[in-house]
Amino acid sequence: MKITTSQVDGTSTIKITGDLVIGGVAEAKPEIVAALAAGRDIRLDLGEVDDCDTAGVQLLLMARASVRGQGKRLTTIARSASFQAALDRIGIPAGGFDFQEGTH
Amino acid sequence: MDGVDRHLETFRQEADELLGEIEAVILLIEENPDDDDAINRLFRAVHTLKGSGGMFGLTDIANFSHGLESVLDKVRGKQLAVSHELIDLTLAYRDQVGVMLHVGEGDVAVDVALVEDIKRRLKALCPTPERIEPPPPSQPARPVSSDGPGITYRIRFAPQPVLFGTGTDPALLLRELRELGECSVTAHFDEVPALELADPEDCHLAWDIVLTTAAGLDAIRDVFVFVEDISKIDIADISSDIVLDPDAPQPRLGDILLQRGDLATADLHAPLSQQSRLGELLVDSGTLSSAKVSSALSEQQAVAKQQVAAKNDSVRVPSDKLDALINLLGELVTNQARLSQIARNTGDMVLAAPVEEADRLTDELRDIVLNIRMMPIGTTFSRFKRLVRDLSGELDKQIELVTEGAETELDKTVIDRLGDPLVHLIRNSIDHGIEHPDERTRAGKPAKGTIRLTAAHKGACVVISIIDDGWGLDTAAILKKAKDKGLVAADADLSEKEIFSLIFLPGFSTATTVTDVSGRGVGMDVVKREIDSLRGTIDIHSERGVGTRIDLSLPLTLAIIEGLLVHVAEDRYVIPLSAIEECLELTHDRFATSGGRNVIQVRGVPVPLVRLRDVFSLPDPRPSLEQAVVVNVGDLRVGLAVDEVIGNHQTVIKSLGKLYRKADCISGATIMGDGNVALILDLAGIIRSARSDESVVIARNAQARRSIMA
Repeated sequence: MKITTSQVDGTSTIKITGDLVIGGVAEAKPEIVAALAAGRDIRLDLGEVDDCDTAGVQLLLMARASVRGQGKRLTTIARSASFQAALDRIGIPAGGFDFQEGTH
Repeated sequence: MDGVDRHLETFRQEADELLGEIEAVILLIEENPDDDDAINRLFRAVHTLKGSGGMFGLTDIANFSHGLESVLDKVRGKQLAVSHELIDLTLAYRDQVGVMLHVGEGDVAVDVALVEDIKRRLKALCPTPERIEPPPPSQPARPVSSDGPGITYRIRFAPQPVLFGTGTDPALLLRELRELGECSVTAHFDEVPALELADPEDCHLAWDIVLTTAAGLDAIRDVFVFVEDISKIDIADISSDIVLDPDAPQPRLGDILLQRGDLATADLHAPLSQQSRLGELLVDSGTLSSAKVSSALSEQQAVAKQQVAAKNDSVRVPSDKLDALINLLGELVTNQARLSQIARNTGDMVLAAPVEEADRLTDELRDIVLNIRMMPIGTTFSRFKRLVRDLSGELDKQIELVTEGAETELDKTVIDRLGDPLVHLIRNSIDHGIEHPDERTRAGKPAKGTIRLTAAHKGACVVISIIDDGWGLDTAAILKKAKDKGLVAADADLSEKEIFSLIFLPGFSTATTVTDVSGRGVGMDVVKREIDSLRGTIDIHSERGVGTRIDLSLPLTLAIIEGLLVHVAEDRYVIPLSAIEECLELTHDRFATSGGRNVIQVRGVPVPLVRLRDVFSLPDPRPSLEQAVVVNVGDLRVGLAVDEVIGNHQTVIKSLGKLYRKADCISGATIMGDGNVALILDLAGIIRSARSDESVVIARNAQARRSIMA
């Protein structure tokens, strides 16, 4: 898992590339927590996520809970087919997970 | 038969049905390649064959099906168009799987080279190397079990945080559950803690699963066997919540939430006071997370689906059990008639009422039991589509088969025995009836010929018609041939109808060249014999250059008929009620003669009169006042003179042995309440013998009557 973050004008973008799996979540936590704190608008770019397991999805769900707790806004600007497939496998309903397709 | 064999047998039956479906659907697709619904049905049928074939260890079927399934998946995804090759291959696939299913029964053997060839050609249809893709999540895998719709379970799976640490990915468990049957999974993720507050290596998720499966509780427990120590797992059978009464209301969403303990009654009633949809209300008011409501919603849907399944529930019964039931019913009806007679004779009022009640019940029972054997004739029709397709290809003709009235119901025995005669008649239409496309164009007809196969109820009969728009029958050729073969006298002067009926004579064949298609040693006489044995009649209409219409008129059932009991001399006879138009008294003013034959006036119309007394050579004297029963056979009305009309009679048909096959005027016998035998009249036969008026026929009838009655 590779995490790239960038901040522009209060918008913090987190891009995850490669496998989003249990083996990487602990390592990813501090990076994501820092990125969440760095902006008011959080953008997730999941367009290049490869393999994705339940723990990987949960990592993002926890990030979502943080954003909500801090009263911020979360937008997913891209998601890969394998990430979507993981959501389907785990039973996160299409409308129930409030990642929203957004534009840059 | 042990358990495995029994399941295998069920699988075979279902697979045979699926093959029938595949054939019907692929022919639909051939007519209309854009029919997405048909393509999906075809895909599902092949998919099910693959899945259940694999489950029963029939790997050759599973492998074979896999190849076709991959191609069909591409067709479904619009990456591949329906081609003639695909249709041919699917039909070939269908035939070979049919053989694979029944290997070991009789002398069928799989043509391995052919199967490999089909596989190779299927593969060639796919331009890219195939990849096995999981079914799209929107379409959960169909339950592969053969035990019907199964049971619906609600599973709550709440693992402890350490779950991930044991190396278990719950997604894999969920996948195993999905393989068990129809499954809907809802994750509860609203309680997931914020990232900065908790360890992402702990599991904070829980699931609600609604699973409909025939695999049983143990199979579900097996899925969780490695995690049960570190998870809270509740499995509840919610099928019992499913009321089999289809009119019963579906469980309400609120009830489901209450039952699961997601919601307290007070919480439920508050939003209900407002008029809106409960699910939206609860989410909006923040009482429940949307995940919990959507999980309950999917449970509601699963329950609704089960109710639909319960509505369409059916039971498979071997037909010999039904036959036994019909036999018993026959005995019961006979015995009931006897009982009624005794009750009438004793005149005991105490006895009369229950006997009358038993009479009514017997009638109802008869109707219901006979109805069980009724099947839509469409099952036979569908196999003719294939026949027409294959034969017209072979003969280079363009023919379309149009079927009507496939839903018309007939007794199963009749349907089963009707198959061969129909195949023969349709073959004849294809081979001799419909012309080659260029001949048709020259005659000003569309190049594509049409054969219409229709079925419809007509009184107590079902009329099945085979209508083609081909040559029509060549009366001159038929007559010449019959004369050449010595089937009729050289100077015979026959009506058109009589000429048509010549083609049913044994040893008659009009085709100048015997082709592979219809010249297979079975003549129209076989068709005639089979229809006769079903108590049916055949009627031919034909116009030169326009076409031929063959009407088969068949009784609804072979077991019990409504009859009219009549009395002649010492004997009693049964006339099928379905053929009777009216009964009247033979007063003197009705008599007339025409061309030396007896004729009576029925409402001003002359109708030929046949005396049963003459037909069976019964002794005179006739009573001073006879009665006549006017019957309608085909399009001919005939009056039958009898001594007395007794009344309606439930006639349980007992067929006559081979010895009496030549008794033209009798189609069967029945045992009456008093134990005596009454003969069932074969009206078509009576009319024939009255026409030919040969003393030989009459002598034979009299002889048959004597030996049956003796």
